[in-house]
Amino acid sequence: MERPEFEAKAMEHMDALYRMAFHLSRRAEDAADLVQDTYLKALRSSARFEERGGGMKSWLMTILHHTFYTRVKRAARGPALVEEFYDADDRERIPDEPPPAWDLKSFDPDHIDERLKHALEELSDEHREVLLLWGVEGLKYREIAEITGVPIGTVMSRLHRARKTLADSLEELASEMGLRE
Amino acid sequence: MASMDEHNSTPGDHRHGVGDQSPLPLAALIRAAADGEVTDAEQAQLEAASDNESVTDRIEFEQDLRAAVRRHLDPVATPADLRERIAAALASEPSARADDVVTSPHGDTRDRSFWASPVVATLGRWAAVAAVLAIAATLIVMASRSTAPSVSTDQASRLVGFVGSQHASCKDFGDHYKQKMEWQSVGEAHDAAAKILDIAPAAFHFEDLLTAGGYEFGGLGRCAVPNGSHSVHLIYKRLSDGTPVSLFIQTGMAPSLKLPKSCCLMDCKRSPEFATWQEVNVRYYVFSESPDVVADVLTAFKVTRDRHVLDAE
Repeated sequence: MERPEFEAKAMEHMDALYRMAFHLSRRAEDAADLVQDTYLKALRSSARFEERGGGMKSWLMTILHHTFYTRVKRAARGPALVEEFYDADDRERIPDEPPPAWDLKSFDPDHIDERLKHALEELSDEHREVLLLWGVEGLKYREIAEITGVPIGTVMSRLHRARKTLADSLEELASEMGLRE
Repeated sequence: MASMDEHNSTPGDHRHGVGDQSPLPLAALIRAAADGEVTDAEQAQLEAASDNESVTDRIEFEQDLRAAVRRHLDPVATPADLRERIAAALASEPSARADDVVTSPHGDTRDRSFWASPVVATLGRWAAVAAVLAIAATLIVMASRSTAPSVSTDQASRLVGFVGSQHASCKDFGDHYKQKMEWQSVGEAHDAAAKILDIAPAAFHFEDLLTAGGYEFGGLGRCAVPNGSHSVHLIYKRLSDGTPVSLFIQTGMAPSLKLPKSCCLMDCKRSPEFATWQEVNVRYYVFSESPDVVADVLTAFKVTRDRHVLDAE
């Protein structure tokens, strides 16, 4: 692929990259920096993209993921935290607590959004990231695992916990609305 | 993209972690079913494990939850100038691709028999020495006369364009300025800049001289000057007439940045005044509508007057 074509195809995914960067960093300026770094790194290793094959979007998201966590590690002045998290996640079993069975459509979307906002703020970067890739980008577990560099089981575990956190907050809403005891 | 077929062809694909192939718990099965990620065996396991009506409701809840997450997280507006900024950064980046390197396929097949003969070789050595001396003398004369550094004009133009647009968006001290300039007290700004740039706060020695010279600090914000890892944007105002001036400080410069380290003034056709220089591993960029304001900043920084004047469109 010639460089102009490579750049044009990469730029098609800028909105998705910015969205991911924004939800990870939670600051507009940091997100813009992150996206710019991602594109520069992608260009510098564009030959590797062609060797690797696969989709441009997931490749760019993988670079963004690594760029973000490299910054997190640097800011924390030690790489242990993220690695410990991965290890802990891998060791933990998925808790067997099924999701609610009531109808979410019966709620006012504004009320749901308000609850989700608070619940999302409580999530760790790792949980919010898989939730974004799953919920907004519509990626499969295998693709999320490739981007985040963790096993599929870890992706499912993170998704499970993130979704349970959201479901719990909506359960509270259901109780307040008298739809649940 | 992993399809259901791929999952069906790899039953028990280590979903619980390394080496664990035990069946998924019911909750995980329901969520995987809602996501369309169950194998035939897992679907059968799901149907056998519970009454179908409850499972159907729970799957529907998960699908509605996914839609709600999408609705909530999706509407993030990409900044209007990000595309242009990234395009500028990419354009200033040389290609690292192997296929951009032009090599001669006939390089090793040239017939060198004539030039390899002993007589020509002896004469050739003297001729080569004379030629090298002549070229060296010419280059020395040219270098002594030239004031232009070896810098990519395109790169310079893009840098001028970038810092110029950043300056323009903040120079009225309006909404964009308020949004961008997160730190508006000098002390906090220095601390923040030192942290962002990973340099000592002592690097801001220029502040006192600027203040003494009649300039007021306006604020500091993050930015992304092309060809570097970290950068900040500071804005000042000349108290006598309110003329704004922007200062950008950058660290982690990419090897592709080809600007000379000594002070380099741009002779801009489109932009008013731009200067850049480097001190050890920190690069500075100044931009203002007024040449004498830029000169004041250079004085505050005690920048040597070994200037290069460049053309930038």
